[in-house]
Parts: sequence; C-alpha cells; structure tokens
Amino acid sequence: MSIDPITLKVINSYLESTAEEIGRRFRRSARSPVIREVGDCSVALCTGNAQLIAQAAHVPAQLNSIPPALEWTLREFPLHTLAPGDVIVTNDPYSGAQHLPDLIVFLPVFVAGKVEAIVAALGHHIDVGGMAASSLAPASVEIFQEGIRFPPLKAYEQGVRNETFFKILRANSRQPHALSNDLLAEIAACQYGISRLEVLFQRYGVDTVREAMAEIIAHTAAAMRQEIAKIPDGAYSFEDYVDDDGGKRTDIKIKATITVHGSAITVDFTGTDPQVDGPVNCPLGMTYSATSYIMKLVTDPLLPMNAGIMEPVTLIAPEGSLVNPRFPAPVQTRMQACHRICDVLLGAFAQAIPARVMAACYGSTTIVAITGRDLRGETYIHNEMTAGGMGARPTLDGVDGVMCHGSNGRNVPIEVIEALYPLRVLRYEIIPDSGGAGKFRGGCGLRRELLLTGERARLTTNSDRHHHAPYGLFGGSRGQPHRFILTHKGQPQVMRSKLTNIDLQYGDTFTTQTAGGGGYGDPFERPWYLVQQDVEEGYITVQTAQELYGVVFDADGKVDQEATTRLRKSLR
Amino acid sequence: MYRVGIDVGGTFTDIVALEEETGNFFGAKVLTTKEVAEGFMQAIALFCQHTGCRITEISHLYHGTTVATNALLERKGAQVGLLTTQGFRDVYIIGRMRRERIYDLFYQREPKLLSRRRIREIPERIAGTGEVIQPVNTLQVETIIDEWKREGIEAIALCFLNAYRNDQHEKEVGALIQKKWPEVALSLSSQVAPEYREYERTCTTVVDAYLKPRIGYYLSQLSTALSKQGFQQRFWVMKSNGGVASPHYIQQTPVDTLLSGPVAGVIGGVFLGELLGWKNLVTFDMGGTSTDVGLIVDGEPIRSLTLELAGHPILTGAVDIYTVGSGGGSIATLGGGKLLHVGPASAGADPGPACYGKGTDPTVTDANLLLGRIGTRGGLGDQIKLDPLRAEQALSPLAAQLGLPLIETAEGIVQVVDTDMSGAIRRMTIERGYDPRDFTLVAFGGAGPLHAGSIARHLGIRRVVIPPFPGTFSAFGLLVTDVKHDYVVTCLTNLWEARALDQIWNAFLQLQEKAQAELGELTGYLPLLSGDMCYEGQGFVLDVPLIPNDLGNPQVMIQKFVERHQVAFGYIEEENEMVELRNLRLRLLEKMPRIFPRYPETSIPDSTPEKRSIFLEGHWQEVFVYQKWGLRVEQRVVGPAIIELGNSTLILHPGQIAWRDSIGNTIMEVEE
Repeated sequence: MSIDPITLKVINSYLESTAEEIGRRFRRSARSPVIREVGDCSVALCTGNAQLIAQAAHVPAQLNSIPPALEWTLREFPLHTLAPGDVIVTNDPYSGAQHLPDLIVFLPVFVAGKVEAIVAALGHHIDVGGMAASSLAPASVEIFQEGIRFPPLKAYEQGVRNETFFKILRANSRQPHALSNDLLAEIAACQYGISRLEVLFQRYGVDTVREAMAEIIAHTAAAMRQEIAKIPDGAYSFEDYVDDDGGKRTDIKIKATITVHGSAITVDFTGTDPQVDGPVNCPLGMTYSATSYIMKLVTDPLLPMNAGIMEPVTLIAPEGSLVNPRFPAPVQTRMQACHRICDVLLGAFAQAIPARVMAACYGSTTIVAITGRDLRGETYIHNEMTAGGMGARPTLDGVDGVMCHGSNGRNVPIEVIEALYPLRVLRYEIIPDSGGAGKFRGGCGLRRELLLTGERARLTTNSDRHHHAPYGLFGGSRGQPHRFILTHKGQPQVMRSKLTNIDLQYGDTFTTQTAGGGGYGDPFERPWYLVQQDVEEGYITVQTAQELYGVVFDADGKVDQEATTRLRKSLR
Repeated sequence: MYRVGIDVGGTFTDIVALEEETGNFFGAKVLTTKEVAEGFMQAIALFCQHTGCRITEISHLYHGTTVATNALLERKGAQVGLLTTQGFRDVYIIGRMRRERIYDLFYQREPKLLSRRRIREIPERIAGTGEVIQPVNTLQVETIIDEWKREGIEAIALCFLNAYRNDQHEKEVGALIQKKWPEVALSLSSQVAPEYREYERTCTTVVDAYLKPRIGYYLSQLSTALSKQGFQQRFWVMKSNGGVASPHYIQQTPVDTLLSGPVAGVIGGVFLGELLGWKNLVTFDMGGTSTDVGLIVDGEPIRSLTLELAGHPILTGAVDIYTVGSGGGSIATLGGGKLLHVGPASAGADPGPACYGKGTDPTVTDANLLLGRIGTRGGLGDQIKLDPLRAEQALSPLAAQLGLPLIETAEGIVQVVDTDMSGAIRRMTIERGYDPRDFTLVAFGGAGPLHAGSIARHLGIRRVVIPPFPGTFSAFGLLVTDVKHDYVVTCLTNLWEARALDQIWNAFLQLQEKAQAELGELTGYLPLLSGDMCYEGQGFVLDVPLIPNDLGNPQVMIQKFVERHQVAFGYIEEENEMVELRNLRLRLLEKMPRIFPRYPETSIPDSTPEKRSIFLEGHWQEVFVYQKWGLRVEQRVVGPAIIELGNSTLILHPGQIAWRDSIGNTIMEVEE
C-alpha cells in the first residue's frame, strides 16, 4: 500500500476516461447503424496479466466478457511473442468470445519493450455470414451455420495489415464494405487508446502505474468482500426458463444456487438443463459476464468495474450445460440465456436482500432483422432491438421501455430507417397495462410496427419470454409477455419468438410487442393517487385499476375512495 | 459613446463598458435579482453613475444571459403541449431506450419537461422521401386547441415525422394554431432544428417551446425598461453559437441562447488572442459551481452541432463548450473503493465554503485556504475575512476517513480538481485531435487563475494568459463580438452522383433566399460556408468549412471531407468516395470595428511584496506574494510565488515565470 489515494484516483480517472474516449471515437466514426445508432459496442482496458482494470460503461453483457477472451488469446499468443503494432482479433465463442458478429480486438501497449497493458474493444458487426442476414439464425443447430469463425489471429502484424484475413472476412459477409470499415474504425479507436496509455506510463513511471492498477483492483475486491459480508449467510436457490431453443425444445431451465459464507460467495448453476440444439446456449464468457454484472448491481454500483468485483466470487457452471456449452453448439442468441441468468440470480438474491433487487425485467434481446433490396438494387440489412419494461424496484416503479440488464443499445431512429430502407414505421408506443401490477409497478413494454414498402424481403427474429412472462416479487404480478404479429393482406397472425428467413411481401406489417416488467409488492398497497395518475397518464386502464389494484373510478373519471377501500378489503 | 456588455449569471450580473473613442474600460458586478431585468437596469445605473454619462450615450448594448439555461435546469419554464404524428406519442417519453448508468438498481430517466397526457397525436404522415402519404386532419387540431386552452397550456411544440424533409404539415398546423390562438407560444421542429433523428428534434422543439414564454417576457421587460430610460440604440443578445441576434429573433428561437452566458468568455478569448497574436487557445472559466472550457483553433472557436443539458439532447449550432460540474465552491466527498471525489454538489453562494463562516462541508476553496494558496483576505472582493479554523474543521472528518494528515487531504482535493479540469481540457483538445501543448491557456473566472498553473503543468501547456479583470472577462467578450447570422438548409446529397451539382446549387439558392428574407441586401456581410458531411451510411457528420467555389466541384468537397476525417478519427476509408452532404450552412458576418481597451491605472508604487507560507509540491515553502498592479510592466516574477490579481490569485509553481504586459494581462510561461 505505497501509492497515495490521490495518485490512485488520478490514475483511475485517467483509465476510465480513456476507455470512454475510445468508445466515443469508435461510435462516431462507424457506419453501420448497429454500432453508430444502437451503440452495440464496448471498450475495456486490461492489465498486462489480463485483468480488467477499466471499462467504458456501454453494454454490460459484452463488457465483462472481455477478460476471459483475453486470457484465451494469451494462451495462443503469449505476451512475449507480441510486438508493437500487433492487433489480435477473434470472434470465437470457444476461445472466450461471445457470438460470431462480435469482433473483439486486442492491442498491446508496449513500454520499454514490455507489454504493460492491453486495449480491447468489442463491436457487434453488421454481418459475418451464416444462414441469415445479420448473422442472426435462430434455426441453427451448429456454430458452423452462424457465420465465419476465427480463433485469435493477427489482423495486423507489427503495423502491417494481414490482407489475407481481411479478404476472407469480406468474402464471407453480406455487407463487406461496412464490415471492414467498421473494423478499421474499431482498431483506429484502440490505437488512439494506446497513445493515451503511453502518456500515462511516461508520466508516472511503469512501476507506479503497475502498482496502482494492482491496488485499484485490490481496493475493489476488499470493498466487494465488505459488501458480501452484509448479505445474510445461507443458500438461496431460484429457477426460471428460456421459452425455447428456436427448434423443438421448450421450457429450458436455468437454476442457480447462491451460497453466502461470510465475505465469500459461490454462484452455482448446477441443476441447469443440458445444452440444447438451438443457439440459446450461453458460452462461459457470457455466464461469467452476467454474474459479475449482477454482483455489482446488488452491491455498490459506484465501485470501479474491474477484476476485483469477481475476486470473492466462485462460479460453478457445469460443462455441457446451457450456461457452459461444449463445441460445436450454436450460441448466436445466447442473450436470451444471459437475461434469464440475471433474472435467476436476482430471484435468488431476493430471498436474502429484498431491498437490493428488482422484479424480472422484460428479459429478452428482441431483435428484428429485415433484408432485401433497396431502390438501387443493393442489399440492405435493417436490424433493430426493442426494449421492454424494467422490473419494479423496492422503492420505485420500473422504467417504461428501457434497455435492461445485459442489453444497453439505443433504438434506430425512425427517420434513419425511413431514409435508408424501403420500410416505414407505423407506430412506436408504450403498451398500457403491460407492466406487472404491484405496490411498485413494473415498467411498460413497447409496440413497434414496421411496414414493408419495398419488394419482397426476408425476416429473421430473435426473442424470448413470449411464454414465460417476467416474474413479480413479494405479491407483485407478472408483466405481460412479448408478442410478434405478422399481418399479411390484412390477416394478423401471432408468430413464434425465433423466426428464420420468413418471406415478407410488399404491404406486410410486422409488429413487435415487448414484455412489461414484473411488479414489486402487493398492488393493493399502492396509494390510490398513484393509480389515478397512472390512469390519467395512460400507463394503465380503468379496468386494470379496478381488477388488479382495487381502485374504483366514478363516472367522471375520479377515484371513488370509499368504494376503493371497500373493494380492497373485500378482495383480500 | 460606449459599447456596453451585460452578462447575467445565477449569482452576479456583470457589466463592462468600453468608450469607443478612447477605449476606456469600466467593469463592475451587482447581484442578480429575482426579476432579472431589475439587476440589469441597476448595473446600467451603476455604469452611468461611475462614468457620468447618460444611457443615450450607449451605442451598442450586448447581453449574455443564463436565463434560458437556468429556466431549463431549474425547470421553471412554460406548460407545454406537444403535437405529433399519430402513432408516435411516446417518441419523446422513450427517448433512445438506453440507460446511462448501467449498474444503478435505482436508475430513472431524467425528468421530462411535460407529462405523457400533454402529448397529443394528429392524423398526418410524410414519408422518408418527403412525399405526403396522409394529409393533416385539421379538425382534430381544433379540438385539441380548445382542450389545451382550458388546461392552461402556455406553449405548443409541433414535431411531425420527417418534417426535416418536408415542412408542409407543420406549417399548415402552425398557421391554424396562430389563427385560432394567437397568444400561445409556438415552436415548429422544421424551423427550430430541421435535422433528422425524431427524438432529438422533438426534444429541441419542446425545450424551445418551454423557454419561449419566459424568454419573451424577460426580453420585453428589458426592452420596455430600456426604452423608458431613453435607450434607442441597437440591443443584441448573444447566442450559443457566438453570434448575436435581436431580441425579436431570440423570442422566436430561445433555444439558441442556452449557452449565451459562457460563450462570451470564448469570444473574449478570440479577441485576446488577436491582440496578442496567438491563434490557438483554450479558454478556462472556473467559477464557484461549474467550469466552462472552450477551444479556439486558428483564431476561430470550435463549434458543435448539438449540445446536451440536463439530459435533453438539443440540436442547435453552438460554440463547443464543455462544462464540468465543479468549481471553487464544490464539496469533496469519499466514494466507493476509497476514492476521493469533488463535486458536483456545491456549497454555492449560500452557505458558501466553510471558511466563509456559514457552511460546514469541505470545499475546494477551504482546501486552497489551508494550503496558503489564497490569503485570508481573499473572499468576494475583500468583503469577507476567511476563517482557516472553519476550513480545518470541515476537512478533518474527510482526512480521518482517508487516513491522511489534514494538509495532504487539502492538497489531495486540489489535485483531484486539477485532474478533473485537465480531463475536461483533454476532452476538448486531444479527443478532437489537438495537442494541448500547442495551445495557450486563457484562465479567468474567480477560481481560474488559482488552478491554471498546475493544470498547465498537467497538460504540458507552456503559456497561460490571465486577462486584466478575470472576474468580468466573460462579459468583456460581449463587447468584442461580430454580428453573426446563421442559416441552414438540409440537402441530403450524394456527392458522387451526377445530380449532386444541381442539388447543391438548389440548396445554396435556398440558403440565400432565407438570408435575404431576414436581412434584405446581403452585401456588407462576409459569407462563411460549411457543410455537414459524412461517408454514406455514417451516422454522425463532420462540419467541413467550404468556399463558394467548392460548390461547383463535388470532388473538392469530398477531398476536404476526407482530410477532416483523418484528423478527427485517425483513419479514412480507402477508395471510398461515397460522401454525403447532409446540410449546407451559411454564416453571414458583420464585422464590428475593434476597440482596444485602456485600463484605469491602479498603480501601487513599489510596494514591497509580503511573504507567505504555501504548501506546494508536497512541502511548505515561504514564497513572495506580489500585487499585480504593484508590478512594473514586464517585471519578471519567478515561481514559486503568488500574484494577487484583485479578486483572484495566481499561483506560480517552480519553473514558471510570470509578468504583467503593457495592456494589463498577466502572462505566465514555463521557464526555459
């Protein structure tokens, strides 16, 4: 403990702001909407021994998975074999990465001939091949159907570009131009990060920075242990389900048991179903990532995000199970399992620390991807995610229509869609009554309706919680589940959650309805005036107010307080 | 005749004046009043009293104001109703869906300026191409107007989908509202911010409507008070983009004044640079609760096309200013993982720092006092005597938590502030591809000079300049601005296509028409052209300066864009000439004759410097304390030392050297 707290703070701020700067640069110069509008990208800085030291707060599910991928990468390319100007890239879930469209790059930072840090970025790229556009293929049963896969390899060697790699990459994408330029933007942003870190090392000296990094992590680990010590000792179990695997398999169980013992914690996924044929399998990197996200969420959100967070945590994820699949299981739509892991862990923690959890959120990465030809005859891919309602909290309603847990993308602006693609958005709105009732109401889900104004196109989707609706806590009810509706020639038809290459005709509309969050606490305990406000603002209907909250409205739309008291008593 | 500038801030109303014939300078501060116009007129009265001149002897009156900013931040604007396209009521509520704090269990959106029931839908639709798919249902508009009249709505924001491409429907509905309800304030998205991305455009329009009644009232109060006093000359309000406009114009788009206050300081920096022959400057305006950083490159302030305030993204051309929520009054606390934080909570003017006698929280000023960096006489123009004992009491608990001696805790607070400030400057420079070492730091505001020396060292900046009256320098910037009028036309042109030439030409003609409609004859203005450009499919544009000749040659425009891209992002797309021109912008400049200020001689002949103990670089040292006006011109002061500047203090670190130049600036450089 030889570095004073001030220098520590200065170095920590420097690292965090560097990560943010890299992320901003990447986003602003990228061309695909999935990166520039949605912001589906992340940046992490790691120490020379592959420990996470700082991150830009973008997409949680991606972020905390960079260290495992780096560990894997360093097995292939030990530090001493690296040279300045090297750029390593991988997308292989079986080498620690996430799913194939997520290209992770690692750039070593050299000081006096030694690697002292590693700059890493992850971008969700528009298309890396596979059986459907956007490399989104819920029907796949092997990873080979999901796109081109590459274990860690050098995209640049000592500053010289590996043209072979870029050629193969481009040849395997439906959008070669966007893909290679977005990758260049990703790498350029990281190169800028290297120059920032070099300045830091120069300024404070290698020893000081190295020591500071170790101390920042040690401080965080110590703070984390203190937080865990506050949680009552015991074993807490919970289980919940992923709807299906995109094929025939349904009701896939994820189970977790959290054992708290003093300042240590074990998160054990034993009891989770074996891996499945379809791509909802969750690679270990992501299971790790989701767990570390939840650990921070239920303890102290202001702790710096680094390797210290997971130091007191033991993770058990049985090999061959849904949360640690064996090669060559497909993993593309692993986010559904990631959401469910978050829900299961929070459900378990709810038994121990009810004031530090939320009811289940909408719980799905709900993606609609449409591909066809635009007026110029060129292939377009439109890919959008729609958020749902957040679960209610111990003292607050859930937020309406907001990205939760592992996801944190933005929507694609309607005007951007209509300027780029032969598509029109018909509505984009909050769904009343979709949030679970409770003393604190679950956030409402959203409805987004797309009309195809161009010729024939193909539609692929990825979603979940169409059957297993988000749970409520302590008397709060479930949120309404997700729903997809395809309307062809005026005939609406409810569709399943995971669709691959469905034909769309001119004039067809596709409607996404996302789930609401679960409620928290007994709805009858919700003050009548808050129920009235929800009715006035259009978040719930008068009927729901009466049926679920026991609040009665008179003919003028005002709350009848006497009748309310009576009704609430009689229904108890 | 006098040119007068008045800068209304949250705490003080500053007034500065320059006599046009002589350059004689006047500067003073009065307290900002609740009815802002009152303090404004008090400031003018003070000026008249001191200079012995009448209000009719003011030739130009310039006004910078935080009225709009504060109305937005304190949520004291109008009751707004929002009219939008059917099916899209919730665009404004949902925002971009992202949550800013990902690990926050209790995350909530920034509160909106209006509730969901105040958003109403109108059947109408324009396609992405601009073609009308469904005409407007005006009957429905009339029903809503009637309801809103009853509900006490004061302003209406109108934002229809794709109106950035075709404003026909907004104009139609706008005209109807004006006819049926002439008193209500009205903002049209196609006029306020004709750019794509419906959420951001809606936000901008709502903010504009939210501010309109209040700004309208405020400016008409001012105009009335001024004309009552016999003032008949030109009266200009500073806009966020560094231009000025008449009150009449500002009443129509008040959203353009959100940075009206801080921007004048950047403009002042441009002038100072011109005077001294330096073209690259960072302006650093550190006040009590916040700090504004601006950037001047090659004599021009860097501009941005958007700004974000209190969670509202706003599409308005603005001088790029980065604001940090900490300043001299900011409070130090200990966060998670035992890390020291400073701000954003502030002791403000009331209760003020602990050493002022009322507050108990440890602030940056308290830390500076304990370190001997400011004297005990230093508070608010010598009116308050500072109490080191109270500062000690305020810092002790923090020191105990940190396990550090008191003095090191104080030093720590100052270092954290310096790091945060350096981070802000880095964000404005390095992140945009500029090396701060190529820049001169212009430090002002009450606390600016105190921290400038150390920040300069952090960033490797070799020269710092402190203007003669750092406390009122922002107001001074109002006196040296040119009159600028800005116009924008959306053109969405693919520069590689053959028809680009026609499209650009059409856009340019439209720009000219817009300008002529407002200004009449355009001779006498200096035109400055620029384009918002990007690679096809990129989401964010770069602002590329152009000359009229470029418009006839898309290849040249592409080339200029590519060069900007390399600087901004560190790479260019190889063999890609698919470059888009999204908007064309025209700025018309009316150059104002420059006045060179002459400052009153406040010489304190040959005062002997005192000595004071100061904690610098980890230990106590005895250093000389000089009075700035007691120094001879060009007399060198070698650090470590202190120069007192009146209402502010400059700290010289070892290796730094400073002097007063012949026009009253204090210049500090790194000793060679």
